[in-house]
Amino acid sequence: MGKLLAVAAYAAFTIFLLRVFMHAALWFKRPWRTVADGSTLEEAKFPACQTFAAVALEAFFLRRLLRVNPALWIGEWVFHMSFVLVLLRHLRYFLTPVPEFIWQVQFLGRIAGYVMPFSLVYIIAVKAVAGRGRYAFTYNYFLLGALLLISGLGILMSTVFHPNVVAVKQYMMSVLSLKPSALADGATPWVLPDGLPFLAHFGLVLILLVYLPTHIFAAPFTLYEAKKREKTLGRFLHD
Amino acid sequence: MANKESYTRCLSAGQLVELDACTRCGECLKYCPVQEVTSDKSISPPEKIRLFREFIAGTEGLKSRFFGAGRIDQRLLEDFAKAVYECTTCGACGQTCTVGIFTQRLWPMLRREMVRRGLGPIGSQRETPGAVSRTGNPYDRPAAERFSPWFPAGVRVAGKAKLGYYAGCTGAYEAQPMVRGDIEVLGKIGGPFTMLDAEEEVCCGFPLFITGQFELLEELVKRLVVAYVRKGVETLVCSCPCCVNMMARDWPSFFGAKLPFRIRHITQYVADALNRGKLIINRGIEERLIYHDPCYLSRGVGVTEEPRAILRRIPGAKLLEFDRHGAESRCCGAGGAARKVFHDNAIAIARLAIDEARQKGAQKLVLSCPACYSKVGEALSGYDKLSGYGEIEGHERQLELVDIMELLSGVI
Repeated sequence: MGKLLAVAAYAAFTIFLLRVFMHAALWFKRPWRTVADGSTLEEAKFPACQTFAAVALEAFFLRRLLRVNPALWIGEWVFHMSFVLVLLRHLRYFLTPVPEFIWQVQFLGRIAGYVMPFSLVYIIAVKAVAGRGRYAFTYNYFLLGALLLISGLGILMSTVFHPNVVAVKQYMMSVLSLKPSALADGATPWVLPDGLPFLAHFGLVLILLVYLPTHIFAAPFTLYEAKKREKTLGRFLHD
Repeated sequence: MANKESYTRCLSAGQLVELDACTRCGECLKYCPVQEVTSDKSISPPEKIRLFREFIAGTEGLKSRFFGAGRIDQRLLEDFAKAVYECTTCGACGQTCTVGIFTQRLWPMLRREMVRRGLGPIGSQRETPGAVSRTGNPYDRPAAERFSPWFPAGVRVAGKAKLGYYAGCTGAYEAQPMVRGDIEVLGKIGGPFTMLDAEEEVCCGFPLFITGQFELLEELVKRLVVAYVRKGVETLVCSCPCCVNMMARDWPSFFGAKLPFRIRHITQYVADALNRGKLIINRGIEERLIYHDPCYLSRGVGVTEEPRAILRRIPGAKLLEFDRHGAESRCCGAGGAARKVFHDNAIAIARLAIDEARQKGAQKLVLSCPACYSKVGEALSGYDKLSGYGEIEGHERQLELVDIMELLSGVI
């Protein structure tokens, strides 16, 4: 079973990488600018670091969402922040030795793990109730549902069904290293930690990886371009 | 064209990234004027992006690489083409997009792809290239009637001048009080200005660009730019936001170099003349005015302050604002050449602007776009006859539609 899940993990990761590669290959096949994209000769000329800083702030605070829907923004911001913290907290399962900063975010990551499902429920409620079904795109609900299940199972594992974290780490290192012999002395490769919750948690993460929304890697570019556009808008007709 | 052929040929890499960046959050639906009047989610911005992504995935995606490109259902393609042409291209969805997709540019490029595949344009939009080739304007009206019916007597046009004026087809044929106002104001300012002959002043290319029909664009743009250069023009002024947008953003691309003259919207030129004391307002208006920002002027090229600066200078006039104004303004329904095919949508959207203007207590709805002027005027003229609008009977007499230069020409 451990080997089977490892194969599933490799398959999911391969699909994820292929998806990213296919999208990137499509992007690079086309010129970055074409005639008639409305900005060819009006390229922004302002300090790149200033733009990056502005875009980083915009991405961190999800400012564009704040402007159009503050009620949804609070849920989304809490979710994204807690998601990043939970991811950082989980790095301890994948790295040896574990960097110091990962240990330092463990407490915050644990809190974030409890907060995340509530933020997801809030987002679903805002979308379903406040939006009166207007934004009911099935794919979004599928993602939200999967994340809710994953985070719910995470909470269950940290409170009720405690898995053997040493076994979890050994399994993850088996999967990651591809070479079970590289594991620490005495460790048994490919052995799944006990318990259905871990199996479900890990399996759902793999499904999420396959269906990971493309905006995760595309949105930073569009936010950057949007910021440049905002800055150059006045230049078309104003000297 | 085979449905299996690539769908990405008309898009830049940046636009492909934009397609991937859509989170389908649906926030844009709240600001889409077509959604406001149709509530048809299948023609919403995220749904169009989702469908187009499916077309790309079906022909160039992971699965198609391994198992061969699938055939996209023809009906689905036709529905998509209709959806993409039903849009007014106002760009409100992009303005409010949570990841900053530049939809005011994306939609015309998707339309271009539909044209390439023989699925667009639709309806009377198909006749635009022929009309422009024959008469120089998309309305297929004789060039001889371009200026003569409305050009005010007593205003002299110089043979050559540093200032050039482009009337534009919609102004010249469909919104004549507007262009008459432009000329009267320019005449009052007093400096020499030049214009091309009626046969020379052809379409700026916008109706072709916006419907994805690019064939004539380079020729039109080069013809116009060369003609203005021959006239010695250093600043070209125009009152049509669509023309101004096309000139400022796209003419350089089709001309193949930086333009040898500056482009200005007429409100910019007039606001400057007022500031310099070259134009004096000598009468007041004791009325409540509400100014509507045209999408291609505000979101398109960032002109929002100058029209307001002009209106604020009129003694006695009280300037009101729509809830959504400036770069966030709501479409009047006339944009994107959709009004030619989806007339009912355009009228319904225009009525939303009229409703709000009335609710705010405005006496005059001030516009600065010939397409808005024409379509909102049409919506206003039939307003009282609508069922369900009984409580504001007599509306046409309560709210007057006026172009900003038409208004100004009456007080100088």
